[in-house]
Amino acid sequence: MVKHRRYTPPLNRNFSIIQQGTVQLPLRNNLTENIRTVQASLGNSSDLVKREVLIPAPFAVKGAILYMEGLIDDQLLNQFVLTSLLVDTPQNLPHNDGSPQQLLESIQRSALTIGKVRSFTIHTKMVRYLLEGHAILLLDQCPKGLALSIASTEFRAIEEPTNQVTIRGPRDSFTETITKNTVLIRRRLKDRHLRLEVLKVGHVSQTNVGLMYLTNIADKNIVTEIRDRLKAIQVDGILESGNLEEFLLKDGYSPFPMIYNTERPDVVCANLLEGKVAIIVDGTPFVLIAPAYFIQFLQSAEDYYEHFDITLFLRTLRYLSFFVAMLGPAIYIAITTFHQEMLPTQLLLSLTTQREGIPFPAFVEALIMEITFEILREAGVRMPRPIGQAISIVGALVIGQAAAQAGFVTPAMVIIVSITALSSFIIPAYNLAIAIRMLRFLMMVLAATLGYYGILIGLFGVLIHLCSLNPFGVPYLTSFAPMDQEAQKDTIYRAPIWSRSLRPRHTAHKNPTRQ
Amino acid sequence: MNKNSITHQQFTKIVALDIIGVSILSVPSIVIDIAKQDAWIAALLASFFGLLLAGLLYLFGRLFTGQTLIQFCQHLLGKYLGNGIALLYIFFFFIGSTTLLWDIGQFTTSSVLTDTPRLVINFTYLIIVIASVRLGVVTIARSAEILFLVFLGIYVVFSILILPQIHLENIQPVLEATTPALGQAAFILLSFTSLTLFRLLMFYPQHVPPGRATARAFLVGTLIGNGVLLVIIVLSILALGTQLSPLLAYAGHTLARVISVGQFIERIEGTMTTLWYISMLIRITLYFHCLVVGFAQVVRLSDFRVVTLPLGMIVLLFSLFIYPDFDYAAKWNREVWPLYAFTHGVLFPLLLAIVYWFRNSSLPAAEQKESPSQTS
Amino acid sequence: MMIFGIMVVAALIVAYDLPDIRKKGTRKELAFFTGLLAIACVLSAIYFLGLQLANPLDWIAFIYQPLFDHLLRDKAGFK
Repeated sequence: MVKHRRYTPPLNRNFSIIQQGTVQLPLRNNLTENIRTVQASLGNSSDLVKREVLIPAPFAVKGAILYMEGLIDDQLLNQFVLTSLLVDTPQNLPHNDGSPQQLLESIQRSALTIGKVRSFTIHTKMVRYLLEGHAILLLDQCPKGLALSIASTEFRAIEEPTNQVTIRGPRDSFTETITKNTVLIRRRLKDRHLRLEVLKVGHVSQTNVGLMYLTNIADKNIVTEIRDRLKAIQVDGILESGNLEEFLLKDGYSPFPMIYNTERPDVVCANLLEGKVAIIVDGTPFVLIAPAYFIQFLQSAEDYYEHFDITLFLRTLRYLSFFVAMLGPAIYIAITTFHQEMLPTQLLLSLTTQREGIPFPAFVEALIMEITFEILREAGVRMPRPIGQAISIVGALVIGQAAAQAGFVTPAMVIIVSITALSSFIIPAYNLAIAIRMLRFLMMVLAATLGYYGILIGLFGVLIHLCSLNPFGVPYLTSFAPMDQEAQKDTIYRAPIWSRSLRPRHTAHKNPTRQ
Repeated sequence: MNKNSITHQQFTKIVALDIIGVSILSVPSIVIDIAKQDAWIAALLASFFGLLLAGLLYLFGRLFTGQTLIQFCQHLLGKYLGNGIALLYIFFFFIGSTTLLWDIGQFTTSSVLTDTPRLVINFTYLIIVIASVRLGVVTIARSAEILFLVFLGIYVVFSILILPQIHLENIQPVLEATTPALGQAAFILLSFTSLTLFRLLMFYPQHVPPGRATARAFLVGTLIGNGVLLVIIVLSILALGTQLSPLLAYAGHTLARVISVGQFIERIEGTMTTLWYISMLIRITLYFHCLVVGFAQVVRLSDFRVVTLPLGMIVLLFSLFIYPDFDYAAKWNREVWPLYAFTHGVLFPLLLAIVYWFRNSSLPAAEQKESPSQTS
Repeated sequence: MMIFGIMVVAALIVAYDLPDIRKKGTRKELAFFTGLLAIACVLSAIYFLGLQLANPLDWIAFIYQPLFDHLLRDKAGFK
């Protein structure tokens, strides 16, 4: 008990405040003093820009504009802040000789021609606004300041999705900016029930995390649960939605993914319509969708855009390749080492002849080839893009052929490994494919030790594990177990859109009909 | 939807797989040995009594009002007598788990993996069983649902592939078996199917709400299970004959061996083996579930998972030698097991129901008002 | 060899379950866990040392075999 003592959250929080150097100090009257405090709390950082201004007569009040270089849009600053303050203000504002505080208020009301302006009175807030890309306006003899939202929008443009490729379907994908991403969703679902809640996660990174759902469809309990779990996260930084995913699923371990991630807005919208919750993290183009079902990872966006019989064919292929990817080498090992009688005589003979010169048992042979392949695959992903593709394809071919000629492995084994590899690429979700790849090695060990019986035991184990998963209270194997007649219209077979009048039972029981 | 409840579809499939259980491989030989070519009549008889039993079990389970069989005993008979009966049941569950696990080891070491020690086989299988028991009834129900699909798929293909091998004359002459032979065959078959179905009483009253749908699940599940067995028995008679079938320890397994389609689909015993492993998984898991949950309820533990691993170790140990050899097992299955199963599956429940009826009619009205659902 | 195996299995079981039991369970759970585990280990040790363990099936057969012999075989004609 005593060994595992952890930091308690309150301690943690105090620590972070001290670390950031921002104290709950109120603003003072003195302008220079205020500026100095800000500079001190940012450690005289050189990207803090200070522009001193003088609001012209009849006011003649000294002021300053502070901003972080690069975080704000310079053009907006010139056009809408400096111009209005220094040129237009004297003409437009009423010429009463009030205090600087009243002046600040009338500036906020009548002078500034930008959308979002917020006032603050403490330093903590000011620093936070600064770091979020606001420009700060301070006046002398005034314990209040304005934060002007003119954040720079210079980010990557919307491009084609790179991972979830489709032949037919929309060609836009999410970017790293949360505001752009929410826009992509809102443009597709123009409904007042579409809600966006933004939370800040990570006490250093202060990452904006958006929670999006259709309030008239989504299950309230699921939304609340996700929101609570997001709020409970105590961490210094969230840099990618993957970090959040692990926090959301920290209760139980599974190699299988239980939160879907996508870079396609159309996929997010389809899921929102089924009552699921999208979690958009600032700084990454991968949006999370929870809760996710197992079958979802074997579906592609295109399934819904092509004709439904094509979908049936493709999905059957995917389910088949799911098993091939997991069991291919294992079955080969089991048959060649334990159950040769299961093969037709001709095939058995040719296999035995092939295996004659091979020094290793089938298991070692398979292991060598599988590991080689995994190395090639990983190298292909990590290498600089232009070299990567060439290396992986050529490498696989060359090594496969050379290994077979050198007598390390049988040509049959090369075929098995290639088919297995291709099968794992067919699976649309990368994280599921990885899970299957890892399980493949387990299955190979089981097959090498216990043959067919071992494979069966392994499959039972995987099945029981899958059956026990309940991400966010929804059975992971929904539409197989518990079996659901209506869900069969979108599992392996996809019924035409016009005949699917009901939404999934578990997430959308509040508002079950589509049409 | 309640997170802890089992759907009626799932329950139907559990009942079906549970009834098929061990029987699909070895039982056809015994039944055909006794009733010869009329074994199918015995199977029909067994189905009839099976349906009757399923109905009775359903009605009996309704008396429990959400308790398990063990809790019902304790509640009804008091601390000493109740726990005594409960211990007898737990002992029964223990025997069930160990003998079935022995079957797994015996079959696997004799037909699938001849060089592997029995300990390894039993150990690996038991790990799966323990894992599913620890994960809970809902997980078991869901996996039963998927396993049932797989089972049915393989079973249908298998039955179609066997059709070219059948010889209709094997079933003649019809109705030659004596009444005692038919009775005994049906009794033995019943002891492997519906007589031990009472293990469902260890979770069904808690997780499946009573009602017409549950009763239907009981009956439909029994029908499916018995239908599957009937077809296997008929196919054994037709394809293997009454001379060969009794000699084979695992007639069902040999049945798969004779399949030969176009010189290519041959030696597909694996299919039959898979079927057997699937139905066995459900049955052993339920037995073991009953064992640990029953034990935990007798000694009143808050969580049954605590004792799963130690009890699993004991079950594993006894599964190595519970039958000294195959002949002992054959004799036991024919002579002792049916009576033993009958005692726990029919006699005790009947006694319990009678006691319940007496106690309930003499209970003061106030207590009845308190729990009105008890009067069914 | 097998004794060593039993010890390994018992150690694994303890390592897997004990932390949880100590955290959640009461003294009673702990007692039953360790007690049953000890019984399992002793029985396994006896078995693997080559000694004979009583077979529970024999006890049941002791009761039911006469029943079958006299009632079902002799009276009802079972085989």
